[in-house]
Amino acid sequence: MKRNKLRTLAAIHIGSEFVSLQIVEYHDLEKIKILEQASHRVKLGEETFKNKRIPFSMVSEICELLKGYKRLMEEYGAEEYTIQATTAVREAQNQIYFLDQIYTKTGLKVDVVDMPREIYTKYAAIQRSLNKEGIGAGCGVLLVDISSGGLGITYVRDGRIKYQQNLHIGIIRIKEDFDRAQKSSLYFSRALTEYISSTIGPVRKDLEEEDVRYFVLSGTETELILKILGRDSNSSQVERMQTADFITFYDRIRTMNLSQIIRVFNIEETSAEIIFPTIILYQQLLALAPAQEILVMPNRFIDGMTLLHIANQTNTEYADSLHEELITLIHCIGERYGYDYSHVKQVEMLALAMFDALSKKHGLDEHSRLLLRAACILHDIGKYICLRSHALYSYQLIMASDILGFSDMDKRVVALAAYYHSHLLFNNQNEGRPRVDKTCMPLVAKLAAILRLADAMDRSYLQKIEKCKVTLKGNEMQIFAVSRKDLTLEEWTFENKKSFFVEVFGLTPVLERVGGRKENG
Amino acid sequence: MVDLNNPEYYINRELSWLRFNLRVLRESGVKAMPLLERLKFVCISASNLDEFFMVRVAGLYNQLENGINKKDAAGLTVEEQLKLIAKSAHMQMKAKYRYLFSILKELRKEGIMISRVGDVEESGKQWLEEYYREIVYPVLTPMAVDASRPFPFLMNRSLNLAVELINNEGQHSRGFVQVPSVLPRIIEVERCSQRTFVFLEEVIIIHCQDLFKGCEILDIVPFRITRDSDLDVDEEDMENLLKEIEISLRKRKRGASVRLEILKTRNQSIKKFLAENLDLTEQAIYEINGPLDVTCFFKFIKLLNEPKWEFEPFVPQKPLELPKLDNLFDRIREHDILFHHPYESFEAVIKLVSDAANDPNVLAIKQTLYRVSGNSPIVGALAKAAENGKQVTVLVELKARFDEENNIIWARRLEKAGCHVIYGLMGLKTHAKIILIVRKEPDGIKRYVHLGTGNYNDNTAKLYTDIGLMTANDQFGSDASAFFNLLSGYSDPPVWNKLVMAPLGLRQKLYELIDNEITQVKKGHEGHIIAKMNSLIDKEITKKLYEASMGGVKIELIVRGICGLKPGLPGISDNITVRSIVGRQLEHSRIFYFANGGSEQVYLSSADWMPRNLNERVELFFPVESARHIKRIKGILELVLKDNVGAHILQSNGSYRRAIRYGNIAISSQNILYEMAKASGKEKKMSIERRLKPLYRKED
Repeated sequence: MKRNKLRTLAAIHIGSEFVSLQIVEYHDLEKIKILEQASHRVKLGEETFKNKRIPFSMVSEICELLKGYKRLMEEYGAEEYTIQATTAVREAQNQIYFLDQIYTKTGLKVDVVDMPREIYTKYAAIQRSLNKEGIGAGCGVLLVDISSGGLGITYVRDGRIKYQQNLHIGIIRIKEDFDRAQKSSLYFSRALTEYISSTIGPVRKDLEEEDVRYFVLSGTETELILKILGRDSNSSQVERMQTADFITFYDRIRTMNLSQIIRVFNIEETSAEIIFPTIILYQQLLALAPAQEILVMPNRFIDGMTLLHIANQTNTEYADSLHEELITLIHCIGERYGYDYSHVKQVEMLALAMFDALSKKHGLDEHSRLLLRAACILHDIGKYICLRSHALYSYQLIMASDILGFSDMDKRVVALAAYYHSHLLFNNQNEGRPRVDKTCMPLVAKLAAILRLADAMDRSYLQKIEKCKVTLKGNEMQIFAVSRKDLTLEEWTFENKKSFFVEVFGLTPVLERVGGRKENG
Repeated sequence: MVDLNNPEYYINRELSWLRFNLRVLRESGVKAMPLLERLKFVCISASNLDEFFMVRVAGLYNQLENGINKKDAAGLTVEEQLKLIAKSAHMQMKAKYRYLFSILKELRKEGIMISRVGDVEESGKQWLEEYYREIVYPVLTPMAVDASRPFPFLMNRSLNLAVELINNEGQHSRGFVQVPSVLPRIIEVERCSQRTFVFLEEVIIIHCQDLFKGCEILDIVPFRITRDSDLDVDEEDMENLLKEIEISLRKRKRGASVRLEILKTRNQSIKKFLAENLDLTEQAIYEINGPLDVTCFFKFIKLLNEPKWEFEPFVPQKPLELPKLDNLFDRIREHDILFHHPYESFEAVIKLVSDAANDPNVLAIKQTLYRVSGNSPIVGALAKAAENGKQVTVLVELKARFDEENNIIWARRLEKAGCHVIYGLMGLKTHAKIILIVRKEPDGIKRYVHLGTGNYNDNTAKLYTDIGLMTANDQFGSDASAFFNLLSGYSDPPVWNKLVMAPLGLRQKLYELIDNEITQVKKGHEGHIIAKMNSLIDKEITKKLYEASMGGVKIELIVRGICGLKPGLPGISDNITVRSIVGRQLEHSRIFYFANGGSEQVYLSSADWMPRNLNERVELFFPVESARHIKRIKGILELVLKDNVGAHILQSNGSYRRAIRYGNIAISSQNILYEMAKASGKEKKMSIERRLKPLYRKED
């Protein structure tokens, strides 16, 4: 999309420790100028993790702050805005009232993002910084993002995401999990190490074969670590340090108790409480995957918000490349469950051919396309558990996986599409089957219907169709399949399965083999 | 190892201030100056001294009453300080009258008579009689003091007459008459052949018998009380302070008395009576052989209206770097613009705000306001901007409780117009001077910033020397935004690009800058600091400067007022000199120069080197970056360092001496700067004759 005009975007993030604002002026991804940054500390996370709710006084405080931010938006004439809340709001039991208060008092609609989306947003910003610095090509990079409420571990090899896991072990959460007496105990260091080690243990197996060159850290706590290491914690540059230096530092701090840390590094008690678990966490992760160098990233969640917003507004190429990265990760999940790569690629090719023909007329957007691809890749993974009822297990495995960049709703749509590729979905749903909400039912049905046909067209798992062209003509969807092989099985299956498609799209699919001479055998 | 905490190395703050006031007073002895200007200096020093008693001396008394008798940096207890202050103030009081009388004598030579009522010619006496009957008498209120009538409350700084009398019952008694403050203290007597003036109290004194009918008057003595005003004031802003005090007077008249000024007479009984009732010790009583409260001469000068004995009017000139006032935004975008007020007009700053108010592309204006007059054009422009739909944020510093009423009127006006008004911060006073303008331009959002050393006050900008900078540099813009976000509570302190802010980091930055000079000397470079400010009393900074001096850094300080540092102490501050400039303009700019091993750095600031500025106020300190401006400011500093007219050099014993004039060439930095501004302000046009000259083709 070409734009000549400069646009002004305001991004607001309601995080667990800060409410932040960023106003940027942009033309495209290459031309982004930060006009304004504001960040105000709030104790949202502490409250939610401890009491599961946001106290009313804090609601008012945040509303006042947001009113101020709204003023700033007006001061820069911001035309677009995105406002997202993460862990602390996500986990607050009174989330709905909180959001309603904000809307009533400020007119701002807050988007509460789930954890995979949160990690992905940060990942996007970090990955872009790494690319700019030329880091990561041809080697393994382990990205560790510690937020107050969660830990995201992402392994990237040669620019492709290979592994992603999110754990519920944020720093403030750790802080709240232990009480004061426990924290001042002599055994705290050891207990905390064991606690962290056991929590992240399962990751060890997944990463043990990998060769990690860079250990990339991000999150607010890292700033504090830099500060006590005597580095410039405020720089907007990537800070690099040798792993050996970090280990020396770890050995030094490990033997100290809280009051010693406060005294030696001249920091506040609240900071010291955070330092300790953060350091242990890093050390434990480093032990899992020894890296040569540690990089500390300046990117924050809000940078990712801005980046993704602008990418979606202006740059399809970049958005596509991000999608490709996500697809790589989804293949990794498929691989873990022994999927049939050739079959999956074939189904994806066929499904996308249909999707692209249908998308305009049937309200299917770019995002739905991504979901369809994910459903294609993962539709059979349930076979890993049992060949019978594999669709149900596919559904369950997908629901249980962390898929970077996919919101919970996205994941649900993918899982349901995978389930209903082999079951019929109607309004009156049977007991015992995964339920589909009314809101996402049309999308699930459309994706499932397409997937069902695409799967049928490779019923033999032999990838007989080389290419296919899909056109819509009257009440028909004509599929011209280029193949030199006999398609009898596929044609029969296709006929069997098409009724659901007719039901959903109101179109009759017609499969026609074209081109090439039939080979025998 | 030298102990830099040694009290010998420091000058007491109050005594240093008294010395400053003495320098001001001494200006009235400069014969080269017009007569009435000299008289003004007498008035200024008197009014300064009044404030000093109401605030500083009162503060010390308060400390004493609360049992605080701590030693200051110079090793003086509160009690000792009060003693030394009294000694110095007594001396100053005497000097003041010497200067006054010599000026009055010269006026008399010029035919201006300030007479005793008895000496007025007959026709004048008649006029005075009428004046008394018609104007004075109706507003007089005599008060008797006896067993049934307690000692009355006498207002702060009011002039009163104490009357000793024998009442109708034949008993010894006392009474008071307040000299009405609503009437002119100095009255021009009409129907005289020469311009003749008398003091109001004298007119009352000769008619006192009317007021105490049936009593026998034994003696009448004028006196004046100064009270604790609990004002938290800046010595720097004298003019406004006066107004402020007038306003707060009514509310705060019940403060404890700290000083009694009384006409010197042989009658000790009235003095004793007053001292007892006002709870004052001998050192707080000032017996004066002349008219009390000489600040009344301010009005006398106006009444006299003799421009020939005053300076020619001071006219701020067109700024050197901004000869034309059009397209300000374009000019600023071209390059930063530096202003040196009052030599260069303040007009451009007002224009910047009013242009912004009317420019359709301007989105937002933000500004700090600390002491503005109610009809300030800047306030008007800000209100206009809000009415024009711009986002306007104004931080109004309601400095002191008294100010509130005054400021609240126009602050409300701003609010009504739609401005977002922030009434200061909870625990800090905002002293920083900054304007931020956000403007939408074809190539994106642009921010314009004005930063200065002085207030946004168009009146004081004609008198105070200050430096201002307008810039479109984005790093300044981004810092300015962050600064306002911090003050608005939208954001925690950011990472600054250019600005340094007190109380967050300014002190640290100063240490770093001074330390850097020490390091430069170690590296074999020349270490050099020139710092110009109004007051230097922060002990930690002083210590740092001593360290730098011991480390071989050359330090030239230009400190107008209080200075707690002792220069020229062997082994401690041999490399430090301190000078104070006193003159027609009030030196107010804060400029800081650091040699930095050859890559010179110049900073400007709203902050003095006082604990209150560095710890308890929001202040800004910012670099001047263009080579042209560094050169220009350094030039100003060098000129001030050469000054031998207004300059007084601080000696290591704490006293000041006028700068020595080598070769008898008088260098007045204030005059030279004014003349330079005038010269550059003149439009460089060809004369009309030359322009009329026809042009011919040049012959080959």
